[in-house]
Amino acid sequence: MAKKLILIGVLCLAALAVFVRAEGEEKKLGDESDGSRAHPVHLIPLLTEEGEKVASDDDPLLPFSTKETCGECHSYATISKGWHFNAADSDLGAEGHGRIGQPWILVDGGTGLQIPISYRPWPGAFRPEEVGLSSRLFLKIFGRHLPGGGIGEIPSDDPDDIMRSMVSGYLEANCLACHDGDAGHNQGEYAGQAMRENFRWAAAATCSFAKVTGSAKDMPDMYDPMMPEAPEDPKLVPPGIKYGANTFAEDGSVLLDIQREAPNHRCYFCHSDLYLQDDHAEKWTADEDIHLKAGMTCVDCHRNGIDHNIVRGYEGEVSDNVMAARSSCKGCHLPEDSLTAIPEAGRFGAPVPEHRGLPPVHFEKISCTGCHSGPWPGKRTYLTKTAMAHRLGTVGVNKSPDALPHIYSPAFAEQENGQIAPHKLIWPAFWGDMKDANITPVGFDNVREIVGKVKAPASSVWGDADIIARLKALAAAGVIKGKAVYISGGSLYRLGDSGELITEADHPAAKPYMWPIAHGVRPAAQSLGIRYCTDCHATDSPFFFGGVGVDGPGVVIEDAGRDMVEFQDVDATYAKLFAMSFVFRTMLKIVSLCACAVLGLVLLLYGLRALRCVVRVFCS
Amino acid sequence: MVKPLSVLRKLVYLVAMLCGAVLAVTGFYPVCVLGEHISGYPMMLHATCAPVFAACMAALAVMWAGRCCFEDGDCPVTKRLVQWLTGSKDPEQKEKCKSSGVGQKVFFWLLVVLALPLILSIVVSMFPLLGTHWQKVLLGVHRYVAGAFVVCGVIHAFLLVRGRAK
Repeated sequence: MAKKLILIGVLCLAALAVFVRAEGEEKKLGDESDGSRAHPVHLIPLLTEEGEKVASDDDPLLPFSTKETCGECHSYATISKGWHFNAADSDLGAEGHGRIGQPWILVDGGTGLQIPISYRPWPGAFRPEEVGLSSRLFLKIFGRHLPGGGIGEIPSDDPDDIMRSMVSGYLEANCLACHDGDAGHNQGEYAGQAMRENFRWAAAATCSFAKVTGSAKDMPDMYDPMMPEAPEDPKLVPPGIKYGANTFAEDGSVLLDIQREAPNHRCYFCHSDLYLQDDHAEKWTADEDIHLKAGMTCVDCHRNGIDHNIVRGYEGEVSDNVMAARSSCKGCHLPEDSLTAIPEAGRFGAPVPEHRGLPPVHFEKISCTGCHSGPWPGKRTYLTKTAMAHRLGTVGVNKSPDALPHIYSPAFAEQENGQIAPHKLIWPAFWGDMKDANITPVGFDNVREIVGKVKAPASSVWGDADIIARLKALAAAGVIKGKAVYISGGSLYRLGDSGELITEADHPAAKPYMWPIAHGVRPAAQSLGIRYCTDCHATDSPFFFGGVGVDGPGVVIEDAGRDMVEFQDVDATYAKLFAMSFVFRTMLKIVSLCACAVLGLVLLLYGLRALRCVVRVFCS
Repeated sequence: MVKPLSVLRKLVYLVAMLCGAVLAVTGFYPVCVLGEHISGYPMMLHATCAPVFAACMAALAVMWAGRCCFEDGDCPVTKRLVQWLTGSKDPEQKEKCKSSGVGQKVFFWLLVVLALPLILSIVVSMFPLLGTHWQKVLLGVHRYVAGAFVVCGVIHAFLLVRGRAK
């Protein structure tokens, strides 16, 4: 009897395993296109995170879950492994995370923090836990511009966070952030919901037909949104949602304006830049990327299938996406060398660049973006704002040009593949614990608790005494095992034996974090070198000798003297001498052409004489 | 008495030799030994010596062209070929080459001929006339003509020295 039971059990397990496997591989209705380019209408029921259909008379009314609602027809598990959601995926490996990109930047002006952080293993960026950010705190701070999924859905090990997750829910992959074509979609609302820890409600709150009120962060740990009770404090409002009167059709379905190809303005919410140039400080005075102005959309190049393994589009991208190689600058603009291959270049009518008079060596040394992307370089790098770093597009954003973090661009620096490319740059600023040569950042909470309580300086610029006071406070608090240090503006600050401030300039731990600029691409007529070689090869050209801004919160370094060339694999003296040689370039051309003229005349003269001799011989 | 023109000719020839050597080393070493494009200080040295070398070549062409004209007895074989083609007879058919400098002359004219594409290929590429494909073609022309030029230059110098020694 026991053997029979064991056998039945084993068979059941095997059947379950087969069933689970089959379900995992099963393609859902929307996973594969039937080939029609027409947009499918999404008149669908909204489902809660429990998979229950939302109805207007539900009590309590719950927000719909994108995981359940969209996951009904699209494989959510496959989608949520895509580029926008996989930052915390440790199985991906360094190669899977690709070229270094924009980090999240933890900023706190009062304590002098400006730290690049990322779940991706990009050199120079700290993991959030290294700076004392739990996943919950990370979501609360940066959820505003996160597409959800990934770290938003990974359960925490911390019992407190687990309890809070019951109240706030998880931040599911927000399909609507990219695919909602409704003019009433409000992504800024998502940012507000993330800050109020209304993770469960955040995606629904962006819809024009839903209104979310209240705040999960104000609710006690034992609060149950499924059976809500009025909080003791009448001022506190529990999170709740209301759907518009005409939201639901007779059968309970809701019409969602889902766009297969994400509209540009959806991408812009997270991927906008503002370069604070002297004459282009306002958005309307600067042009968009030439591709967009030519009528293309972001997703024409940045494509993906159901796996959402979106093409990033840089040269040498390692990706399973079949469109990756074809979607780089060269992939579209340069024809293949092989005449036998099927022509793939020239998509969207991409012109083949002529690059007249440009020595081919430039294509080895400089990326396409080096001459064509970002703002035209000035004598100094510009303070730059990005949506992800400066909360652009959200309510109550600080519009001051000096708003932290201070990102500088374009900094022409050598990138991973050895080519010079324009970068955005940030000087990390953090309080650290130095043991031997290793410096680890002090946790965010400790910094706010200890450094934040030191009397604020009179001006926004810190003096030595301000830094000394904070270093002493850190050392005295007992949270430091080695020496307390402050990293900012490319320098390391620490206390000497007699309590004086010691500054170590160009400390390796203080080197800037840089990530390449890809957009906005300028037209050929506005590319570097269009006027003459001296656009770059002049003794004062921004490309080599433009000043790179150096500062940090509280630390301003006037005329720090950091030239672009310091970030390139180019000898500064050579760059200067080479630039000077262009003064004589015209003379070189004239002398060479004159020499050719003389040589040609000699050949012509003596050639004619030789011809005369030959003719004479033949005639005689 | 030393003729001033002779001294100038030698001086120009020496400068040309020196510049040619620098150009050959800076041009071929990165490409043939290091397997990369000429760049950095070698590039600057190359570009500095190039106009001097071009000017010297022009001067040498003017100063030496008259001396390097082919003469009647320079090459009997050619003469016999012409006679055979024209049907004329020559009593001195077995005549040997009178001139010992015919090799020098040949290589001198080869150098003059090669100097033109050598210089033009790189000067033209400095003007915004040709696109990337033709830039690469010109670079290839410059490289291979330079190779031929160096070979001719070495042989010319060898013949010149041997002629002087005799």
